[in-house]
Parts: sequence; structure tokens; C-alpha cells
Amino acid sequence: MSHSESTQPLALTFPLHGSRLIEASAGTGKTYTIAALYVRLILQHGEHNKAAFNRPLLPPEILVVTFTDAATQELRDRIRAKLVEAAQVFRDEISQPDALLSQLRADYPQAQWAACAQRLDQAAQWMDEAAVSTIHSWCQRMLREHAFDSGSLFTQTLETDHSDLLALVVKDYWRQHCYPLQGHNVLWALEHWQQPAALHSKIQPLLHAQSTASTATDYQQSLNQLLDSAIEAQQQALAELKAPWPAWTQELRDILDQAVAAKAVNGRMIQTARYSGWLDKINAWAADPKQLKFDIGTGVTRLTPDGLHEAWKDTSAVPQHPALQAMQSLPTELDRLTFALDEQALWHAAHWVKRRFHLEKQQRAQMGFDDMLTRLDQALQGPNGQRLAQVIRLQFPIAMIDEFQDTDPLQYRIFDRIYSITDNRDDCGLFLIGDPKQAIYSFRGADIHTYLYARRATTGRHYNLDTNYRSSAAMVAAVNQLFKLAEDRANSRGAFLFKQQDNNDLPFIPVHAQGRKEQWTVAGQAQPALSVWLIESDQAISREQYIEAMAASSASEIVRLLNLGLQQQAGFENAQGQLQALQPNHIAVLVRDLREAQAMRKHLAQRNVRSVYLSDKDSVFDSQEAQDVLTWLWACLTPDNERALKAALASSTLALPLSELERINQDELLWEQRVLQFQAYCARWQKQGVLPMLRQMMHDFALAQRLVQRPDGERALTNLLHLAELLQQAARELDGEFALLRYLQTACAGQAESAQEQVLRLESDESLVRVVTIHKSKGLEYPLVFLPFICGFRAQDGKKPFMIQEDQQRKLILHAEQQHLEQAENERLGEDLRLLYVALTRSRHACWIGMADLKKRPEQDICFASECTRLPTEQCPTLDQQCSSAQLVY
Amino acid sequence: MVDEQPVLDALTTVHPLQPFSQHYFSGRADDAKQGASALFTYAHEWAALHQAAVDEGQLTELASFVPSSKISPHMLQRFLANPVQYFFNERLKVYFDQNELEVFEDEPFALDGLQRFNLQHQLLTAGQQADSQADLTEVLQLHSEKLQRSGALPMCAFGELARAELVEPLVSQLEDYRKHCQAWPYQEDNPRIIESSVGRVQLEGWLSGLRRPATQDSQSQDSEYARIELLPGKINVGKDKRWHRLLRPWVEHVLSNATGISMQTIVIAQESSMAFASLTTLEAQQIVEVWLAAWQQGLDAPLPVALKTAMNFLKTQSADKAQAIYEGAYNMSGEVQNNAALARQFPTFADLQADGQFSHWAEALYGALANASIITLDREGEPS
Repeated sequence: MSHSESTQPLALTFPLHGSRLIEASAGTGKTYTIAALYVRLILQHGEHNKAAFNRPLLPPEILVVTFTDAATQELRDRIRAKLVEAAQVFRDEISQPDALLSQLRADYPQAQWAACAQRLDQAAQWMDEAAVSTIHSWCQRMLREHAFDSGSLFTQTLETDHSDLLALVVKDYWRQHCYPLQGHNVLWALEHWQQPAALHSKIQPLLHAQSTASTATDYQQSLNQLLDSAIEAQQQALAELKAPWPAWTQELRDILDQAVAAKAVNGRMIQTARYSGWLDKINAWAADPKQLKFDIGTGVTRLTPDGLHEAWKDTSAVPQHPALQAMQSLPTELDRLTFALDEQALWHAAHWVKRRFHLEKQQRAQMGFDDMLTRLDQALQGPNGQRLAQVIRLQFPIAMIDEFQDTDPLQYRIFDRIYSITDNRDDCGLFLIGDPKQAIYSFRGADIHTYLYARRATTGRHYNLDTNYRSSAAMVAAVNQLFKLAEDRANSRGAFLFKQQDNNDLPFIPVHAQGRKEQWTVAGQAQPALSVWLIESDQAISREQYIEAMAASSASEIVRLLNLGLQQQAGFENAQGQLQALQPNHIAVLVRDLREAQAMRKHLAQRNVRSVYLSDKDSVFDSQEAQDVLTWLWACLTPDNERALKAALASSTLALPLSELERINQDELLWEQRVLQFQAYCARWQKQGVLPMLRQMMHDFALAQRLVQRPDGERALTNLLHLAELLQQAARELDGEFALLRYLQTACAGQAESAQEQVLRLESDESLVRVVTIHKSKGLEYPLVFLPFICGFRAQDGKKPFMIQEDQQRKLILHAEQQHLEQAENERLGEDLRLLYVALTRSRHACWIGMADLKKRPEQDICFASECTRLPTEQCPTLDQQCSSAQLVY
Repeated sequence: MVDEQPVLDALTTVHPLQPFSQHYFSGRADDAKQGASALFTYAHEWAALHQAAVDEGQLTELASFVPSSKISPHMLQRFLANPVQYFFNERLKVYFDQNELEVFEDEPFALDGLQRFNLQHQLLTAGQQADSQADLTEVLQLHSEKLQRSGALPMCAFGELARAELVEPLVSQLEDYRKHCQAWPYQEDNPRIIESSVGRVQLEGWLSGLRRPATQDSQSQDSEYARIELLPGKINVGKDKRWHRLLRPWVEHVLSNATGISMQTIVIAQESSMAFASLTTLEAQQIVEVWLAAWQQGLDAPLPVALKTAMNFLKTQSADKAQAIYEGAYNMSGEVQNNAALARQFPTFADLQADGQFSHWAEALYGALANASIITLDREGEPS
């Protein structure tokens, strides 16, 4: 439901108590609204329409939770600025005040203005102590401040990377449980787990699974006992499956023999030689009590009721036999037997490792990131939970949770426990702010179903921000139109696949447009907001062809537009008719991953367009520069080691000419100089640190000058500076130079998820075309956006474990059966649709999307593809040879 | 009430993201928007970056390499196995391996490919050296138990299984070896000299292990010869061969045939055996000449060629497929990723092809191997 129509914006009428949900579509001023609500909480605004909280609050009492540290900083600054601005409005110091703030002021008699202004000023000055934080740091703070109520230690060190400890625990499991294995249990372990590292990656998803959806395994017993009984159970079940087959094969043989003799069957489908082969194999399989593997080729489909039905000439005379029925389910049942044993053992390992890991951390008084949440949750569910919840509620009567669509069940449970969401208490307030259409972090454990659950829990208290301030009216209309079509289609599942008959948990609600003052024009003509390019092909094309063709077309179009921009022909025209010419940094190309980014940047570079790549995943330790710095450090530490020094001098990043490298071999003095040079580096490292040493080295080798001549020179240079900083930072906590070397080596080899500070830094802030991952682009906006590869997707193949929604909770699927795969595919498609929504709403003025009929497309995907092609299209001049463009005009 | 914007602009300096940004050093007026004229920096070291292009005149070609001594067959093998790395090792004395920091903190849990190869090599050598009448199973049993006691294998029952798995294929391999030795019973005691030269490059080495067949008169002069190579591991992948394993025997094969004798090389690997058919002296000498000339050029400058990529290219004639082998693909690491010298000199397949010589060198170094006539030998007692 939407809020009642009134002249005042939602930010002013929103009731400041109870548990409420605000859905803020992209670009509708979410942060602005949060800041406005904050101002009202400080002033206890809203008494005239019962929207006020029961007392005025101060910054330390208002909890604002958001997702990342960077977002926290930004939010804090925005709130502070808003408080200052509001104070100025109340003191009448601004000639043209913000409409919302002057409406706010109008709700107060003039006599109170001065008092309000003072209160706002105080609050602004107090913002340093405001409770604006990430969920993790807030949980940590709660555990520390309420150590008695939460029963946690006073001092705990936060360990951001626990992967070494975890690996140690897994090895210990191996030593304790796998080494004592006997007989066929060893073979089983060797076949399925190989070694600790492999076991580690197998149980990784199980460790993170919230629910232990396992069978009632007894975790006290040893793995040997478990395997003994489980393998025995498996053999028994197998024997039962096999028991009737020796008799059945004989009967089947008779039936088929007679049918062939009577020529009652299609001779192509049923041949004596083939079916007797199948039956012999079945016999052999049934005779060997241990053989699990069952492979009779196509027989497995032919020897079923359907298979025979197809082969029989007279379909009414098709024989009936229990074996045919049994054959239908036999492969699945055999698979289940294998998987059951597999899962039981995995859960045993996971359970042991989880418990032991927890114990190890407690003994070390350490916490990982996730522990902050789980421990607060445990404390809240524990015997003292009631009390703790009450204390926290008193401390923070109001909580606003930003980006709530990225929540997970654990976070929800914590807030539900404290603020009891369904009760809608009026002595406190919990405002959940998010946009389910932008829930794109499932790979990090975010769970849209938790959001939807919260949405149901707050039924009747939903609010929508309904005006888009980001994009032009045409752009908003285009996005509305696109998703509305899918939403309203008869018998569809809605734009985001959550529609069931008359109930839609995730509806698409069109937003109004505030519009923009400037207009995107080319050669004096206003341009369409949304352009769709379709690669026309008779057959589905591969993803590689798609990427290649679309990257080329997009790059050409970008070049065309930029050239027009240079001639003052393309740009943004304001109301006075002045044109701001198009600059490269007005354009963003949104991609999914590094591979797409590389294809795009390659084609841009071929056309002399420089670009930067922004991602939130790629680590600086994966770069060639990191490898080379490693060899440099090694050489600095052991300058007398000829091998090490020469390897450093020959490294790719140093890029000394080969002739230079040879001279070192021939000229003894030169060699000596080099040794001395590196000895000096070593001394500098020891005296001043690794960063000054690396800087000195870069200077001595004129690296900067030589690197910038490379096309990716700025990237390399940025990486080097970044690495030097990271090393300097790490050196503070490490003893000695060799420890640092070891640190860098493990970091380079590490598969651990890269921490925030390791993510590649922006290499340039010049006006360049941006190539950005969709995930990174969330929350950002660009005047022109290209989505050339938006149709690309990775279908769920079930080869790795995955999560699906089942019976109101997430369930980990280790071995996929057909219905699980369908469900997972469905969820994958839902996420891709949300990704499309995020990508489309990044643009201010115009957006281009590249479409194609892609190979290996599961049926469900057509829903999205057909959506676009069904829009009114008109043919336009061809852009590139492979690609025709169809533009949609609004 | 004053409009604050001009004041704010005057007070605010917007710094570029990077210390080496040209805005710090240009001092030009058109950079002055948004108060950029206030930009200054103490980091003088970056100034050079924007002044003049660095003198790249030192990028001279290397002088032609003068070999200081005769080269051995082993050096030729190393060159052919990895021309670019060989250039760095021999000419520049640069070795890129960086394994010195590796610390093993745990007992072995499972054997990786290299460990398996090394252990099997040791076991094969033990089997080869054993008395020809000795029971092979027993020899391997004894020797592998020794390895297990030394801690080279995993612990407990896993070690038992690993040992059995290591030894299992070796018996039939060694039996096959014995069988071929019986077919070629007469081994020459004295090694023969191999000599060859092209230009300044002189090759010299010794050829040992020549065998003659039982059917021939041991005094006859123009007899057939054979060498028997025992290789750990497999030599087939799918329908293709593991050429990098066959290269070493192939080089010796060609060098031997170039001395004027007619010799085949029998290669006995884990899963199958094969033989390189003998070459005519002329054929063999031509190949050696091309190799020696390439060796010289390969030390003048790194040759844009790599073994696996080149073999794939010669077999498929497809640059796309060769590129996948060189750069790697989904779930497969490429040749360049496993070799730092290649990564330094030719980071991408496009770099390898840049001067258009890739196919020339592929043909020169590996063409003969790609076209070699290979006889697959039946292994008795093996199913299928």
C-alpha cells in the first residue's frame, strides 16, 4: 500500500514510531529522506498529526545502520549537513531555503524557531558521537558495552582473516577422524574427499549455512563409526533395490522375445542384441552386492512404460510390468543413496569443524566478522536476552536500517528481537529502508526472502518514495514502461517473478519523475532515452560472439558521440539553450565481470578512447606488479644472491631492456654497482621502511616515466603505489623484513576474499569513460549508460552447492535434483532481473542495451528477452555490420 | 546574507587523485578551474614524468651471441623445451623461479602430480637397476616401503593406498621394458660420439645405451639399433600426446640418427609404449642443422615460440586454439601462466605473434616432431 495523498512529502508525514518499511526505488532520494527524518527526530516534529516520537532525541540515541564503512561516512556527513542547513533555515539565514525545510519550519510557531535552531546546532556538533555505523561494528559495540548482559568477554581482538585457523582446524579433523579410518572407509574418504584442502572447500558452504538441514546425524560418533553404519545402510538399501531384478530380467526377456517374434514392436527401437545386452548388464549389476554404478546406456529410458509405449506398434497392447515402473525411478534412487552417504559425512565434518573453530577462536579471545552478529544473536536468544533487548531498546529508541534489501535472516532476527517488528511498539521505532528491486548481493549471503518476510510483518505500514529525482522524465518513463509491461502481462509472474494470482510481494510500482533541467541532445535534436540494439541472427549465438559484437558496436557509438561532443554537437542543453558538451566521463559502460570489462576496454583502446575500470572485487595482489614487487623485496633482502637480484632486475614491471641485462653480465663494475644499489635499498628499508624504499627504487629506475608510456601505465603505477602503502601498513604489525616478504607471498597466493583495502584503486580521475561493474555502480549515477552485455548470464548448473528458498527458509542444496535446479534457475533469473533494474536506473538521460538470442538459454529467460522485442520498435540505420539497432522512442 | 559559493570555491582546493597527475605540474591557466591554480606539490620526483619522454635510445639489439664452448645434447634439449626461458637462463643468467620461500609445515596429505612423477621415477629406476631375474613386484614393494618409511607418502592407511596406487602401473611397465630389452639384448658398452656443427655452433655429446636385436649377427656393421626409454607418467592425453614429455627422447633420437646409424627409440610410458621410427641420416642431419641455427638465433634474441602452443598450432593450424593453450581458458591454466620468462617477454598470444615469426619458429623447432612417424606398440597382457 502507498501512503495517503497529501501535499506534504513523505519525509514530513512519516510517523516516527513503530516498525515501518519504506520502499525507495532507485533515484528517489533515499538518503535525503533519511536525513530529513533525522532532523524531525531531533525536533520531535509531527505532534500535530500524531507522527512524532514520544520525546525529542539526540544523535547518540538514533541508530542508523548501513552497509559499508564508506556509506556510513557519507551518511553521517549528509545528516550533519542537513542539520546545519535546517538550523540555518530556522534562523532564517538562507534566502531560498529547501522546500521541505521551510514546510517543516512552518509547522512551528515563530517563537520556537530560535530554540529549534539551537537544538539542531547542538545535534550537528554532536554528530561525531552519532550511532551511524555498519551492522558489524554496531554488534561489536553492543557486545562490548553490554558485556554482562551479553555474556561476552571484555576484550576480544577482531581478526579479519581467519582462513589459516580454519585450514588448521580442517587438517586437525583429518588427522583425528580420517587417519583412524579402516578398510573400505578409507577408500571412500579418498574417493570423495582426497585431502584436507579438498574437504575444506567442500564443507565451506556448509559452514556458512544458517540452518543445519541435515538428517539426524549423531555428531558424537567418530567418522569411522558413521561410515560403518552409513555404508552398511547403503548396502542394505542397495540390496533391497537389487533383490527383485534377477527375476524381473528373465520376465522382461520373455516379454521382449515374444514381442520381437510376433513383430509387435518397432524393430529400430527394440533389437534382440541390444536389449539382451542391457538385461545382461542389469543381471551383472544385481549379482554384485557392492556395485553402485548402474550404466545400461539408453536402456534406462527404453525399459520404462513410456519407452515401450513408443516402441510398440499397437499402443493398446503395451505390456505392463513392475520392472518398468521401477526402472523409471531407479537412477534417481541410486543417486540418492550415494548422496545420502556423502551428505551425512560432510555434515559430520562440517559440524565438528564448526564447533572446533568456535572453540579455537574463544581460546584465543578472537572474533571474526560474522561472529559479531552470531554472538549478539546468541546473547539475545539466550537467558538474558529479554534484558539485553530492553537495554538496547532504551539506548536506541529509534533505529533506521538502510539498504535493508541486503539483509539476512540473522540480522533480521537481531532487530526483530530488540524492536519486536510485528508488535509495532510505539515506545520505539524501527524504520526499514530499502529497495527490494535492487537486492543484488545474494552471492554475499543477502537474502531477499528475509526482506519479503519483513515486508509481510509490517503489512499496513509500508511507505513508498514515489518521485525520481535522478533521471530525465523520458528516462523514467522508459524504465516504467519496460517493467510495467512485464508486470501487467496476463498470467505472468510479474516483473520480478514474485507475483502469484492476486498477491505480489515484490510489485513494480511506476514512479513519478521530477525531470531534469537539462536535455540530452545530438545535433540540436532531443535524443531518445532508451535504445535497444538487437543482434539479428537466425540461430542463437554464443556468449563470446555476443560480447565481441556488442563491445565493438558500443565502442563505435561512444566514439561517434564523443566526436560530436568535441564539435559541440552532442551534450546537455539547459533551459537557457546553453550546451554542455559531452565529456568522456559522462559515459559509463556497465559490465558484469572483468572479462566483459576487458573486452570493452580493448575495443575502446583500439579507437583511442581511454577508460578506467571500477570493480569491487579485483585484488591488487593478483596483479603482475605484486608478483614483481615480491621479487624486488627478495632481491633487496639478499642482494648477494645473484639469482634473486637478476630475477628482480629482469622483472616485467622494471622492464629493463635486454641489452641492459646483458651488460650486467659482462661488466663486473656495473654488477657491483647493482649489488651496492640493492644493499642500499635494504638499509633504507630497515631504517625508513618499505614504502620509502620502494619509492626510491621507482625513482632510481625512472619507473614512472617509462610506465606511463605503456597503455596501462597508470594502472601499473597506481598498483605500485597501492602495494607500497599496503606493505608499509602490514610492516607495522610484523616483525622483520622476512615476515613482510612472507606476508606478501601468502597474499599473492591467497584465495581469501580480498578485503576492502586490497581492491584495485581507481587509476585516474581524468575525464575518461568509466567501465564499471553493475554491483559497484549501485548508488551511483551517470548521464549516459551503456549496457552492452546485459543479456549475458551464468545458468545454474548445480555443479556447486547452492541455496534455494524452501518452506520459508534458505536451504543448502548439495546435490541438485531437477526441481531444485529449476528453483535455483528461477532465483538466478530473479536476481538478474533486479540487476537489470539497477543497471537501467543508473542513467540520467539515456541508456543503450544490447540484446541477442544467446545459446544455452533456459526457457525462463525468454520472458525477459521477449519483453524487449515486444516493445514498439522501428528499424534504424545499421551501426556495425553484425548489429542492427532498433531505437525506442518515447 | 552573502552568497557563499565564491567564498567556498576560493577556500577549496580539489586535488587530483594521483600524486603523479599532470595537473600538479602543468601550471597552465586552463587547469585553473575549480581553484586548480592553487595546486602545488612537494613530490618533485613525479615532475620528470611530464617533461620529456625518456630516452629509449638504449633499446639496442643484443650483439650476436658467441658460444664459449661446444654445446651438449642436454643443452639442446633444454633450449627446445623452452626457448624463451633458455634465452634468459643462458644469455642473461636470469632465473625466474621463486620457490625458495616455500615452507612445508604439514605432513603430505596427498601426492600432487610432480611428487607422483618423482616418486615413480625413483621406483622405475630401482626396477630398471634390479637384476633381470628379480621379482619386480618384490623389488617395487621393498623400495616403495622405504619411501613410505622416509615420510614421502601420506600417513596411515592413506599412505598404504597411495603406495599401492603408485606401484600398481609400474609392474606392467617394467615388464614391458624387460620384454623390449630381451628383443634388443645386446647393449653397446662404449658410448659413441655425436658431433655436428652449424656456423659457430658446435654440438658434441655421447650416445650411450645403443642396443642391437637378437636376430642379428652381433658383428654385422649395418645393423638396426634401438634405444629404450623408460618414462614415468602417461604420454597420451585424449587423442593427442604429451609432447613436452616426448621432446627429450625425440632430440636424442634425431641426434643419434644423424650420426649415420639407423636407430629407433622405444618409449615405454605408464599406460602405453611407442617408438619413433628410425630416420635417414640425411633427414636427421637436416633437422639438427635447423635446430642448431635456431639455437644461435634463440640466444641472439628470445624466439617468439613456446612448445605446447606451437605443437597445438602445428596440429590444428588454428590460431584461436593455440591462443587458448597459451593464455589459458576456463578451468585450464595457459602455458604463459606457468612460465615467468614467457610472461616477461610475451605476456599475450598477440605478443607472440607480433612479428609474424611464430609459425616459422613453430615449424622450425617442432615441425619434425609433429610429423614424426610414431609406431604404437602393443603391450601384452593389457586389456584392450
